Amino acid sequence: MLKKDPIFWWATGIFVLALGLFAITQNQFWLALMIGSYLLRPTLASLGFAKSYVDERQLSIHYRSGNIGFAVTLIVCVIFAVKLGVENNPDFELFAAAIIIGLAAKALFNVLLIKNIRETASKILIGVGLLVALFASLDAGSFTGIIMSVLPGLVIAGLGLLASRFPRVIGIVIIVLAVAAMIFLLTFKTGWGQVVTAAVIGIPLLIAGAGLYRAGQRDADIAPTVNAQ
Amino acid sequence: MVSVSRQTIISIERGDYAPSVKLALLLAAKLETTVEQLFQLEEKDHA
Repeated sequence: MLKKDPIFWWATGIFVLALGLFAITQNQFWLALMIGSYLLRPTLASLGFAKSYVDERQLSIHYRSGNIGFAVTLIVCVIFAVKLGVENNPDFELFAAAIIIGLAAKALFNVLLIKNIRETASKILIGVGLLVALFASLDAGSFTGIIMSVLPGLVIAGLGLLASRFPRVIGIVIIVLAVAAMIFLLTFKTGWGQVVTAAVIGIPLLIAGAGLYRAGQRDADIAPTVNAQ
Repeated sequence: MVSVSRQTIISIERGDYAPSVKLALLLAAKLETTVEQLFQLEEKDHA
């Protein structure tokens, strides 16, 4: 039986609106919104809103089915990317972007949900730094080129190792680095590859930098109180 | 009563779903008993 609470009525409204808009405009986007209306309840619950409308067992089922759905989506994207790649169709990049962004988002939230910002930010910086170094080394030609290419990634990873000791300073440095990297990537050459790279590198760095700064700020606020005692 | 669906209660009674500590405590409080009286570990859970 369907539970007719406010979320049900909002989801129904979104579904009906999307159906009407699709009928009028024939735009596929509205079909996606119709499907998305089904995900309104678990999405709101996952984000911490409307928890009273979803009980814990339903939430557990949504999480497990979400993981399975994500795996199925990835497999389908891989199949389509391979098929288009074999046909030398450049649109395979879109599916490759979807795979990379999906995996990066899952890895990022796996770390973020630990909720210990110092440990989380450190892991993010080390992970992103090593990833940047690895991919940069694959692109470089000579030995000197490899050293120069991996240096930025190793610097980020090194900052990750020091993050818990100097959170505020490293937080600011990382935020500046992230913004600079995203601007460089998006203005140097535009294409799906650059957008994906900017998102996969820039967003985790921004989150880590902001988190470290906040953690450092919180330490600074607590320290005078402890010293006074 | 404890803000969960009827299906969740049925799943708990059938042993298909293990409630959280909070839900177990709420159920025990509402039924005026203890968590240990309501839920017991099975042999396989001791492994």
